[in-house]
Order: sequence, then structure tokens, then C-alpha cells
Amino acid sequence: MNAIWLFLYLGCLIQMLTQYRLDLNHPATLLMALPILALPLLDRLCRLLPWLLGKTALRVAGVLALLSALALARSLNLGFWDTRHLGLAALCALLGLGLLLVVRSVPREGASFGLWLWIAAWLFAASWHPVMTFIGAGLSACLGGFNRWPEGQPLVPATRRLGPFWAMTLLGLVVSKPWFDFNLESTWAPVLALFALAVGVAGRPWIQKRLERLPSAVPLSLLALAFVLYPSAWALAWGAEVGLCWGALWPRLARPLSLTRASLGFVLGLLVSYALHSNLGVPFLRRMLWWGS
Amino acid sequence: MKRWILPYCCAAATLLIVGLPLRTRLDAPRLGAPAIVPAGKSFEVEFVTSLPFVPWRFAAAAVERQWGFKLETGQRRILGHRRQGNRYVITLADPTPVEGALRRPVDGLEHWGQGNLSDQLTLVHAACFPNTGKEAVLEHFVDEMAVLRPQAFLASGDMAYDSNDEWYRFLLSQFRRLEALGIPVIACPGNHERGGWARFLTHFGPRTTHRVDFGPFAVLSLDSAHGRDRLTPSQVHWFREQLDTLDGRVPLVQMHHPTFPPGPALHGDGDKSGGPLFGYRDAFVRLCLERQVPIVLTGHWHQDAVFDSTGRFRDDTPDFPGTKFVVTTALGDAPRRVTRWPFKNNGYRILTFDKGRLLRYTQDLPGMASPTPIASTPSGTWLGKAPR
Repeated sequence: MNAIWLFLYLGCLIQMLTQYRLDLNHPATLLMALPILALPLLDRLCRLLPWLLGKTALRVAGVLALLSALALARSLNLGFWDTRHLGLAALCALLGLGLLLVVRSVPREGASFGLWLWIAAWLFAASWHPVMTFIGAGLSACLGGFNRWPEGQPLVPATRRLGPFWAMTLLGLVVSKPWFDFNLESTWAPVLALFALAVGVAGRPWIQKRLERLPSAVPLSLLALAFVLYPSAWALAWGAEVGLCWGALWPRLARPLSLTRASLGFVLGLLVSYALHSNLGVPFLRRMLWWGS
Repeated sequence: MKRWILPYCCAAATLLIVGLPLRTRLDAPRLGAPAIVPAGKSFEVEFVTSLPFVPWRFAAAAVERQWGFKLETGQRRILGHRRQGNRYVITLADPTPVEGALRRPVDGLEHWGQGNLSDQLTLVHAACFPNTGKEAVLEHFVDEMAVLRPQAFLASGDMAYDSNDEWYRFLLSQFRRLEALGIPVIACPGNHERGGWARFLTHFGPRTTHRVDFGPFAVLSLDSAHGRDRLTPSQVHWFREQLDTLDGRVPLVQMHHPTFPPGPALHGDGDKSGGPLFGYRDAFVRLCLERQVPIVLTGHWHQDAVFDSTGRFRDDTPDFPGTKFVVTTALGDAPRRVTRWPFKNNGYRILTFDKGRLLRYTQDLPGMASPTPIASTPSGTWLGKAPR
């Protein structure tokens, strides 16, 4: 369920927060950051309080995550997020914490196409409203909490290994480009849905065998190239290309996946990408940000 | 795949929980981006629903119920409709003849009827509105507009330094006053709207880049402040598309950030202002030149400035060939001294056109040569001294 946490919760949270801006001096910001701040403490917390991974606690966490997601979605659907609203921030934190606990309790990582299709479906639903992805995250948490999560075939780690932090940082840098291009227009949602679908396709055995032969430098370089070569008018094709690259890299991340490193790397990548696309003022990079468009 | 039946069934149920009862968000036309159409010409009403794939009749009924208007009223009729996911576009036309120049919206829909506009048109442009505590300045401006009676008012951002509800209520009440005078408001966001982005979008809708056809003009409003001081590829693509489909209209462009930096005209540290458009400036200027955009209206600096298409500061003459890249001083916020232009005052810019051709965009100032370059109209010119 790591992918659910990364792509349906974390990614979309950062996307919405960069859109609506954060007031770093406001308590609501701290509330929303709680699940991310809890990441490094989670293992220790679960060791100290083993009942957190018990059946009842997971069910409660799953239900809380789903209810928070539904409440958040009902409040925000069609609307816009006032990021200083404490109630919305609390719902967001509850969703994140509940999902995090459920993700932590599922040690096995699936590699089924169905998982990525599920992610793609919810990312596509973001074209109706970005908050829809949170419903996907909450529902996944609830199903996981009740042991109904259809993880499928376990992921077989690739022979070539990659550190998750920097790989996820690179992905965060790249995958967020359509957000900063289309902003309030929902066009970015199908692009990211196609990205997820392509990751799923890359995981099919017949294509995975071929991708495995490639040295990691190839998909990494192509991913880095996608950061500067972004053709806005061909964003769907771009999304598929990024998805295939990531599909080749995903099984190579060191397993068991350190969720803390992967998440922090992803958040770092997303935030650096946001800073660059918001005109951080790096003269050389500024010219390169939208090459291909 | 059977394992996924339960998740997808649950997904459908959650979507229903979130989407029912059916609600809508009207995206166009909205205050700040009205539809101004001659009698019989079609225009589009665009909205989204809380649930996708709803039959359009249900969606139309929901939008009417929620926003307090009838799509078909009087002689206004639905000509067509289309849907994509939860987004609906309904094409309407109203053949009712329009008496006078403009007919104000009669219900909650920002649909203006366009009658016989005279060849001579006056538009007013302003940016950087007053802050909380200086409400009287904005009220006085609207009073001046009641005297001046322009055909439209263009607001290029920084309308809300305070993003609280009271300010937005007040701002909207003043815009409604302008509309009651028969002056449609065409607005785009600035960087300060980002401080309370959700509130701005709630009141003005999510279309921050939009086109309003009005008389001989196509008013193209861009959003230069999405991150900071830049356009995005998709926005430039949209801009190019609009310029390709002008149908003989004269394009007028407004956005918040000035196109060019002050350059050699910078005065001191430019009061720590002077931020221009960074991303896509060259492409933007090239398009403006190629498609003969007469004027690009911006704000942000709190001081007047005018540049030609090479980025040269034009304090020598207001008449030069090519697009005029104009910066208008603050309407109500503190004026600054960004360039060597010696005047620093609150004001707005009056633009006069004849058959769509730009005649004047500067105000003659006492003691200066006529026509005075750069200068906008100081507040209070039409109605005595403006309150501070």
C-alpha cells in the first residue's frame, strides 16, 4: 500500500497545498504536517505501543481515515481550500495518520496491475475535483484496516537496487510539472492517471523482463530529461513516458521500502519543484523549466 | 480481478455520498468575466456538478436552483449542450433587442446584452486597490465612474490585500455598484489575491484566465501570478489560441505583472518593487507584436510606466508604433517611485478608442506637454479631491 500513501495521499496533499498556499505561522499548517512529521517516529511508536498494529486499532484507523476523507471531500468538492481552516486541517491529519498506520501494518507490497489501475482511476477522478484522490486514499485505508485490501501478487524486488530517497526526490521534481502548468484546470489529472497506468503496464511480466535489462541510469536519465523537456500540448504522452520510466525504477527501490525515506524524498522533490516553478529566480534554470513547450 | 469488485463498489458508493444531493459550481459567466453578447448571438454557461455523468437536464435544473436564475427565460433559449465528466457547457442565445448600449444582467447570470455601442468607446483600467480602512477611496472611485461613465472597467489584480470576508463583501458591493451604473467589470487576479486564494476563487470563480468579447474588442485576461511573475505553457498556448480566433476583434490584454523590468529607468531601489514578468516574456511580447495587440495593461508597481516592445521606457512620447506595454499606478494602495517618472499618485487609466483603434491612454498633466506620456488619471480628477 506504499504507492497509495505516496501517490493518492502525499502527492495530492502537496499539490493542493502548493495551489492554495500555506501560512507557516498558522496552527493549521502544523496539523496538516502531522502525518509527515510522524513518519520517522512511526516504527518506534509501533514498537512501544504494539496494540497500534492490532486488529481493532487498524479497523478504527481505517474507518477514521475513510470518514475523514469523506468529510473532507464533502466540504471541498466543487470548492476551494482555505488552508487556515482548522477543521479541514484536522480531517486531513486524521486521514493521513489513519492511512499511515494501515500502510505500516501491511508488510507485503503488491505488484498487481490492479493496484496501479486503482491509483490511476482515483487520479483521473481528480479531474472532477482534486479532493477525490483523498477518497481513494481513505477508502484504501479502510479496506486495508479490515483486511480487504486486494494486494495480489507480491512485488519481486529487482536485482539492481536504488536508494529510495533520491529516486523519489527525482520523481517528485518531475511528476509535479503538470500541476504547475495547468494549475486550476483539471487537465493535469488525466496526465497523472496515465502516469499511474504506465507504471502498471511497466510492471506486467512481459515488459518488466525487458525493462529489467536496462541499467538504472537509463530510466533515471529519461526521468531527469522529462523535467526539462515538458511539452505542454503533449502532456499525456509525457505522462506515459514518465510512468514507464518510473515503472522500471519502482521495483528497484531497496526493499523493504523505507516509507520514511521514500516519503521525505518525494516531498522534497515536490517542494523543490514548486519553488523552481514559482520562480525561485535561478537564472539558468529558469530558462530550462519549460523546455519543449 | 474479482478481488477488485468490492473496492470499486465501495468507490461508487463513496462518490454518491460525496456528490449527493447534487450541487453545482458556476464557472462562467461570473462577476469579473461576464458574457457580453449582442441580441441573438450565442454564449456559453459553464458549470461543474458534485457528481459526474449526471443527465444534463438534471444538472441544468441544479444550477438554476442553486444560483437563482433560469437558463431559459424571456426569449433566452438553450441552443445546445455538451458534457465532459462533471463539466457542463450549455449554449444559450437571447434574441431580445437591446435598448441603448448595454443591458445589465436581469438575474444571477452575468449575461449582458450588447446594443448599439458608439464608435467612440471609453474603458477604465485600474489595479492595486485600497486596503482595509480606506474603503472610502474605492467608494469615491465608483462615484467618479458614475460621472465618467466608461463602457467597461478592467481590474488587473491586487484587489484584495486583506483576504477577509468583510473586504470581499465590500469589494463585491462596489463592483455591483459599477454594474448598476451599466459598467461591466472584467477582472484578473494579482499576487495579493494568492494570500486568500480560496476566497478569491469562491467569489470570482476558478477561471483566472479568460476572454470577454465586448464591442470591437476581445479582452484577454491572463494570470501572471500563479507562482510568481510568470505565465505557464498552457496559458501561453491558450493565449495563442485566442489570438488565432479573434474574428476581426481587437485584442486588449490585461494581467497583473508588468511585462518588462524598469531597466535603466529604475529609480534608486525602485521602492523594492519593479518585479516584471519572467516566464515566457519573449514569447508573449512576440505574440503581441505579431497579432497587433494595441495595448497590454498591467499594475503591480504602484506607479505609472509605459514600455515599447523592445522594453524601452517611453517617457518621451505616448505615440509610438507597436504594442504599448502599460503599467497603471495603484488605485488606492500606497504609490511608489519605481522608475524615473517623477510623479507618484493614486489613479486609474482612461483608454479611449474610435472604432476599436486606440486613441488615447494617457492623461495630460498640468505643466506638462500635451499629450503627456505615461501619466494615468489621478484619483479625484472627475469629482474633486479623493479621500485618503
